[in-house]
Parts: sequence; C-alpha cells; structure tokens
Amino acid sequence: MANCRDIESKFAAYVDRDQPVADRVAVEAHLRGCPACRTRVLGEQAVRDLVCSRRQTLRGCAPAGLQSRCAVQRRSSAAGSLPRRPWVPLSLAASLVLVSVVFLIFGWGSSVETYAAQLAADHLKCFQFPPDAAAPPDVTLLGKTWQATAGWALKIAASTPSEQLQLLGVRRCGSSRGRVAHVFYKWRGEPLSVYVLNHRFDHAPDAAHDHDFNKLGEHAIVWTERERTYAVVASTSLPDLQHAAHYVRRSVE
Amino acid sequence: MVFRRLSPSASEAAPDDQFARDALAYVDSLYGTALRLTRRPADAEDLVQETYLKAFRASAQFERGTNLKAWLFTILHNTFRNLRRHDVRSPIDVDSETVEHAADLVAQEQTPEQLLTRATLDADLQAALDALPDAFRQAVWLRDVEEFSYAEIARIVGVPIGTVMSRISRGRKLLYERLAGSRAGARRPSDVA
Repeated sequence: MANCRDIESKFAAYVDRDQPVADRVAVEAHLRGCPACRTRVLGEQAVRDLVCSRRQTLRGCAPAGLQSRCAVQRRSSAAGSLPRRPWVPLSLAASLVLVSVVFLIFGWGSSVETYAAQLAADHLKCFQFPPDAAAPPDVTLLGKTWQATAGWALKIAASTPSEQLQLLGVRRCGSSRGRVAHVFYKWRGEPLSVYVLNHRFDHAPDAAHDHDFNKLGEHAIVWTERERTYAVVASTSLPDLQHAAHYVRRSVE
Repeated sequence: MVFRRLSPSASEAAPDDQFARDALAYVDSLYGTALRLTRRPADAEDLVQETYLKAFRASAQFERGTNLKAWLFTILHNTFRNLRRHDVRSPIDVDSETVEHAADLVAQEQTPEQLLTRATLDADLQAALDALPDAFRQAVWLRDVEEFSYAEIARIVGVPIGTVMSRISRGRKLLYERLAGSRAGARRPSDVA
C-alpha cells in the first residue's frame, strides 16, 4: 500500500472524480487501510461540495458601472486613439520614472527640474485610472488611513467649490515604491495632482521661492516646507496652477 | 496602485465587437477573483480594468476557439503579480515551502465529515476562504468556484500541475479544519495563518 505522503497528491483528483481508473483504485485501496486519510478525504469532499454549492454567492457581482468602465478600456486600447494622452511621451516618461526615481528621490540628490519631469509623467499615467470619487472623500479619514499605512502624517487640502477644486482620493505613488503620496484632484474639471514627499528634497526651493516647470505639456510647481516636499502638477495655465498651489499651501500649513 | 501602460505596437488594433462582448461577460468572475487577490475593492476594480485594457490590446493574440475565460484569468494573475512587486502595501506572500507545508502544521481533527453541514453560513465560508494562505486560496477558488481544469490553473498561476493538485487538496483540508474547528469552538482561523 502506498504511504500517505505519496498518495495525497492524488486526493484532489479523487475528490473531483477526475483521474484515471488506476489512480482511483490505488487511492481507494489506501483509504481502506488508513483511517486518517479516509477522514481527510471525507473532509475535502465536504468542503468541495460546500464551496461548489455556494459558487454563485461566493463569486458575487462586480460593482455597478465596472463593466462599462472596462468597456471604455476597449477604446483606450486602440493605438493612436488617445489624442490627449500621447503614448510616446508617456512611455518615455514612464521609463524615465523607473530609471531615475532612485537617483532623484532617495539617493544622490539631483535637479528639481528632473523631479518635476518624472512627476509630470506620473501625473499623466496615473490619471488614466483616477480614484472613483462617487462620494466626496473624507479628508480626515484619508489622513488617518495614510498615517496608518505609510507611517507619516499627511495633510490633505479638502475640496472647495469656491475654488472649483474637487478632491478625488489619495494613493501611494508606485513609481517611488509607495513613498510619495499622490493626491488626486479635479481643478476646474481638469486633472490636478499634488505629490507629497516625506522629507526635504535636496535643492528644492522653500515655500517662499517655489519653482515652476513645464514638462511633457504639464506645469509643475515644487516647494519644500517643514521637512516635506510638495509638487502640484496640472496642464492648466501657470497662473491657474499658481492659484491652486497657493490654496494647497495654505491648507497644509 | 500605479499602472504601467503597454507600449502599443503596429499589430494592435481595437478588438472586434464579439470579442469585447465575450470578454466583458466575465467581469463578475474576474472581479470576484481580483477581490480575493487584492482584498481591497478599489484595488480589485483597478486590477480588473487593467486586465481588460491588456486583454483588448492583445486581443489579436487570442486564439479563437480556445478558453477565453482562462486567457483573461491568466492576464489577471500576471498583472496582479507584476503590480504586487511594485506595491509596498500588498501583503507578502508566504514563501512556497511554507505554503506547501502549512497544512501539515494543523493538528489532525478527528471530527466527522458531518460536522461540516450545509448550515455553514456564507459569511463563515467567506471568512475561512479569506484566511487561507494565498496560494491555497487561489487554487481552491479557481477550481471549485471558477471551475477551471488543473492544467488551466497551472497556466494561470504559473506552477506545475502537480503543485496545483497538491494546493487544492491542502487548501480544502485547511478549509475543512477551519470550518469544522470554528463550529466546534475549538480552533480559530488565526491559529494557523
């Protein structure tokens, strides 16, 4: 008779009744002489029957609207169908992000200008999948969640109808290994990103002397304040972006 | 979660209507599986959308007449694995050796098969499934909920068929012990996590 460890590899197929006759005969011969394996197989059979009987309940339904959002991906999949999000600069920028992020943020100190370029690339990329803001996010809750998961406090500028700024949500910026907070907004209906780095970025200007850049068609304003580095990125005009950056700065002070 | 776009190639074209309709019919299954993988509804939705984006982009590579559902699930799992490598939030998977032997760490319950009755609540079953190690949960889910063959699961998960069968068996064993143990009040799922 086969020993337990040798025969257990055939248990799944035995329970599923999906194995050659010879294997089935071998398993049954073993089970007749092994109460422990017999009990185990009975348990596996019971679990299989239970899970299969609850298949539909377990599978559940996708959230309303997800299918239509997935259908939208079909249009996005057609090459050249994204006039406002050209792929060539996007893929180049993505490469730039992956290659240079370690140098720029966590390592050897480099130019703020290149930092702005990579954030502009990330802004373009991540707004392909913005957070679902069906309900207005709770700033306090977002801050607490960030503190709990990232381990450092993040102040977030709330939505303000008077400024036409709508908060969508917060994610970790994956291109920085999750160490930079990416706060998503709609600014007068257009995507706007606020990036917060948990330390002072070498060579970054302070709040009184922020710098603005134009990268990949996006404007970026970068400054540091209280050991945090902030960057506001959007394709709006520079005066508009400065206005938005001013509001963000006041909110996080 | 941040996604990387696939670079478009000359061979890529918008998928035809039939392909799109057939693929979108699996959104519930893909979302349910994505939720088991990510454990976060928002991340699951992102993962499903990214899966469809890649599927539509690569639709020309899909061989008509083969299993579209298995093809989509393979993309889903590959995308999840790639994202997890770059996402520090994701739980670290149990290393393969630990996974393969996790079931052995549980003492053999001598409770009769009848202890696991149809009275098990959906919530209990869901919680017990969620408490399984990732590799076991995926194997049991793909087999018993999504009804894939061992060979299809092997391709989706990227492990040999023998490993798939072992994980299914050990996953069911663990699941039984969790459910039977919790019903007897003798063992909680956290004991063996």
